[in-house]
Amino acid sequence: MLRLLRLFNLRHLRRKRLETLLCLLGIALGVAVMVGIDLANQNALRSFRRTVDAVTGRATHQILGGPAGIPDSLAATIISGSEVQATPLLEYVASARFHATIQDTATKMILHLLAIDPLTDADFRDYSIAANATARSGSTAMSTGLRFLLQPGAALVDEDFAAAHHLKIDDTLKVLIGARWREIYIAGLIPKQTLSQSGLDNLALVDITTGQEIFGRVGYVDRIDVIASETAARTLAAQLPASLHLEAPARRSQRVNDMLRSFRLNLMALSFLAVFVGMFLIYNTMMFAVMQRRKQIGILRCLGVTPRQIILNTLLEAFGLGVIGSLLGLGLGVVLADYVTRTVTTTISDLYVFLKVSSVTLNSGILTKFFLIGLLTTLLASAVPIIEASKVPAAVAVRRSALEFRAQKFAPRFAFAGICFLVIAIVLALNSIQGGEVFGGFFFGLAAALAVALGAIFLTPLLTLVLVRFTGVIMNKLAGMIGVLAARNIQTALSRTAVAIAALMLSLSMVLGMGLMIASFRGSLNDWVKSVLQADIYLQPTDAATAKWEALFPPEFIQFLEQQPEIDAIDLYGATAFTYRGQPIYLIAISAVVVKDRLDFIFTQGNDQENWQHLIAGEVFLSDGFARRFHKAVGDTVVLSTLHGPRVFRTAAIFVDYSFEQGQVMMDHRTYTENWGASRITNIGVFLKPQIDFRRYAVDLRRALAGRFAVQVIPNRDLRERVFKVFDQSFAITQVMQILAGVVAFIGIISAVMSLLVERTRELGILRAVGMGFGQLHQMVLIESGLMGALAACIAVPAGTALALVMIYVINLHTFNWTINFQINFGAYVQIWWMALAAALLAAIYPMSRLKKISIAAAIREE
Amino acid sequence: MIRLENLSKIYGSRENPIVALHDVNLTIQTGEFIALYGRSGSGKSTLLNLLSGIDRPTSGKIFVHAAEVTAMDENRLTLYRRDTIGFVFQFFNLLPTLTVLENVLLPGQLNKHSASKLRERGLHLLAQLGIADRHQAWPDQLSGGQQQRVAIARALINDPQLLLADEPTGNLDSETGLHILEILKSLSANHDKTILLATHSLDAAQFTDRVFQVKDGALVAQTNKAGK
Ligand SMILES: Nc1ncnc2c1ncn2[C@@H]1O[C@H](COP(=O)(O)OP(=O)(O)O)[C@@H](O)[C@H]1O
Ligand SMILES: [Mg+2]
Repeated sequence: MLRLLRLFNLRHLRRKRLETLLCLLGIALGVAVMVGIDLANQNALRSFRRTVDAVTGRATHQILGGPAGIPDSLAATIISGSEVQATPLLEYVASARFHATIQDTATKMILHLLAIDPLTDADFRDYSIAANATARSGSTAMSTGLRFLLQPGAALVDEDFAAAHHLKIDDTLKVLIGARWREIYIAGLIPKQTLSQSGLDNLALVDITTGQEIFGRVGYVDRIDVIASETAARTLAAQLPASLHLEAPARRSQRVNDMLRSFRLNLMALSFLAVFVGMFLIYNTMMFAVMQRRKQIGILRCLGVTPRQIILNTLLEAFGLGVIGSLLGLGLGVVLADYVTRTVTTTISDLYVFLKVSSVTLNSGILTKFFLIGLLTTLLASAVPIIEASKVPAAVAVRRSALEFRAQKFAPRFAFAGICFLVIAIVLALNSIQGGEVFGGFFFGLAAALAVALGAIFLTPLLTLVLVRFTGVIMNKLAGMIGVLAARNIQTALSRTAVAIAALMLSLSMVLGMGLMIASFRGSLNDWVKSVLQADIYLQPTDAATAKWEALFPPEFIQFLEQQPEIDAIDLYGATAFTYRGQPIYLIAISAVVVKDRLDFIFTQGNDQENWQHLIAGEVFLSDGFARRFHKAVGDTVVLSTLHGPRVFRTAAIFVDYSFEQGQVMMDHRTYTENWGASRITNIGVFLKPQIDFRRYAVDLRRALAGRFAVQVIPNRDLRERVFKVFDQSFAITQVMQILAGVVAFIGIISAVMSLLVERTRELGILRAVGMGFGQLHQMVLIESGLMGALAACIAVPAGTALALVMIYVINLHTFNWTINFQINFGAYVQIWWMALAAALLAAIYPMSRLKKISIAAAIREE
Repeated sequence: MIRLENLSKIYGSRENPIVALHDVNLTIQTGEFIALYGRSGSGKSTLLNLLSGIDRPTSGKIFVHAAEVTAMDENRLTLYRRDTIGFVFQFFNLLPTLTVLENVLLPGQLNKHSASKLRERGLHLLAQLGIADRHQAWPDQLSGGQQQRVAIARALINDPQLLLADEPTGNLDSETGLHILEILKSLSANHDKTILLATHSLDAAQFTDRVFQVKDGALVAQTNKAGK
């Protein structure tokens, strides 16, 4: 019996070749989306973590100083005085040029520079053994190790890097450090084997003295790596002076993780969405496939086939489809992952830390996971409708109206559940606004968003019925009986249409919610940019692209600027990565006297002039993000660890800021220098004298700097543009989301319209028989499809707005921590309408083309 | 006047042909009430489908009044079905999503007739058929006989010259069936409609002016009834 049934199914598949293909495509797309996003996320984050771990080597602990590092003398005392193994280290990520002019950007090389002490480092990092090796050819006058140690500027370069850029021993390389080009020469190569184990690439080793010299850090090291047992480490920690502290390398990796926190949350949310979209696609296609067979099932039941046999048989078929579709999806997903990885890596590189774009490495764990998810979803998606279909009494299964009647009866109950979800959403949102746990807050926020979505989904059937009744009247006026028929069809096939409308509505709501959130964010950012970015010209070391906040202006450059007659005032801005209560934050030093009358900071309270007076007197400003994150108000104190141990600072004011999501403590340069040593200058704002034309001056300045300093000269307007470019970049990933939403919308509607037409073949035959022309039929299908789109958009307007509010006032405030003022954005609302209508009309094209195939005689013959 | 010339319809493949109609010739005068009598599978429905333009013949020609139906393109056929033909089916074939009145008005609406006049006419037809009080009901709330009367009203809404009824009593009990046949007879007598009735019941065929027996796709016998 089962064999016969299987034959029956296979024949069905062959006859409905296109539907089968759609089904496979749906499964494959679903799996691909999940695999693509997840692989990309894992890849980008792992490649970063690997670099950190590789540099760490075998070190169990690290001794760190303040922002300026550890003075040489102190380092020497610690290393010689302690009983554990220890080695000093400096690190810098620089761009490099070979034999080329400085302006040449065609051959872009990135070098991870590590300054080590070759005598003690070999115990920590395998690859540093190269620094001790003697030259392989005996004829060389001096061994590689000795050259490395004795000759200033000698560097060991990783073999692969040298090969890739056709570099050989004794070649000179220019590296960009702190706005200046420095020279190193290749004294030897680091063997491939030692590096590939570590997973590090583009590495260059220099001796610690060379490092201090070219990094502009003479007299300091970044940190001291230590190999010590737990007890030894504890003793060591106790002996350290107040300005230093000991931590496990894992902390460093963790800190980067913390820094990337909001970005990871974004990706995580996107993965969730991808899984949801993928599962929805699969569910939709399988549901459609089974629905088409209701009638066949009814006949089989009449012939005496048991429900069990029908279910087993359908699941077997679903299994086959699931395996093939999921495998296809894995392939497609890897291709997608490549694209997404690029996006993710670029975003991380632009915003956080420099990452090399790496090719996608396959992760069998991820592949297996999503293969199984794809397969299980396929089985589940077919199990639900098939079990339902096979259970109804044989005669009833043929009649769809019984099912539809049930669906309409359920609509109010669903609506009740929907309202419950909305209440839950409100409670969660309020709870989350009151409770402050950062990560917990995120999940509460996410749960609130989910509850909003569920509420909207469950309200959809009833709203559809109500709205359709309304539109029925309008449709009658506009399109007569054709309009009425279209509206009624949506109503009577509620079990199918409501699912499609809900899916479309959900995608639209997400697009709208994101759109409103981004637009509001952009608006708030714009206000800030106008008030804070007021200098005529901004300057930044060119190597900030790779070295981030480690790229500093050399003191000579400041002197050079101070001599320029056209300049009225200079705002020296220094951002320093710092930690507060174990969390990454930034210390910002500014020229308070210069900016207090020139910039228009947005303070949450207090008199501007007084606030600035307090800052100049040694108090600090907190960014709004910092204040929210650590629950600080004006007048509260903040304890920061300084060179002289912990120190208490009073909060003079809180200001709105969008430059660092981690939050910042801002102070005058004098305050910074007293506590952390010489100011580090990372950006400079130049205010020109009134009569100077900033455009002309920017050109002159660039010319004057050429060949001496690698500094980007950015006129005010360009910087503002750049700010928005970075902003858009950080939301680039949401475009992927919009595409996903579009796909869902499209597939949801096309399968709903298709299933409506397939099930109504007979009705279509009658319509044709009583004189309805193709034009009128097309009109009906278009109205039906368009109406579904419009209904979805209607419901998406409040749902999306609610999602935006949750995102802005719950999720954002408790995780990303920006001040965003909700703004109604007309464009975002228009966007979902055209998305909905475009998806609906596009989805109608294929079904419309199939109308020609319906044979009237055959359609009305069957009963 | 309706004329069928050498009309044939063959289903199936070349290797495995199913001859549904074979070389049928027939002339019907305007206003006649004709019965096509034969058992199931003899080709009655096929003939009606060809005549109504729902299906196309394999060969042969159909003339309805001056027009050659077999030469019409899809658009002309649609208009022909809408304006010239009224079709009544064995299974009523009302649209479940439309009310009784809406079902009746549908073909008229497709013609963009003025809405108020059309509605008046629809209600008038329903009244004539004795179901005006149910005009707001849904089809599945009516009995079979009532549904068939709605179907007849729908077939008449555009005032067609030719009414085709394919086993209209096949799904009704004999008493209700009788009532439907009387309605058809009075339409023929009082409204001068040309009516073709396909039936497998000799009793039903007796209501008409002329009876053709259909057998294996061919017209085999003709009974002219006295009285006309
Ligand atoms: N679409 C079709 N495909 C194949 N054979 C058909 C089709 N429609 C009708 N037939 C065949 O044509 C013959 C005549 O059918 P039909 O006109 O429906 O007979 P009747 O209406 O007299 O019962 C039958 O043998 C039937 O099987
Ligand atoms: Mg028949």
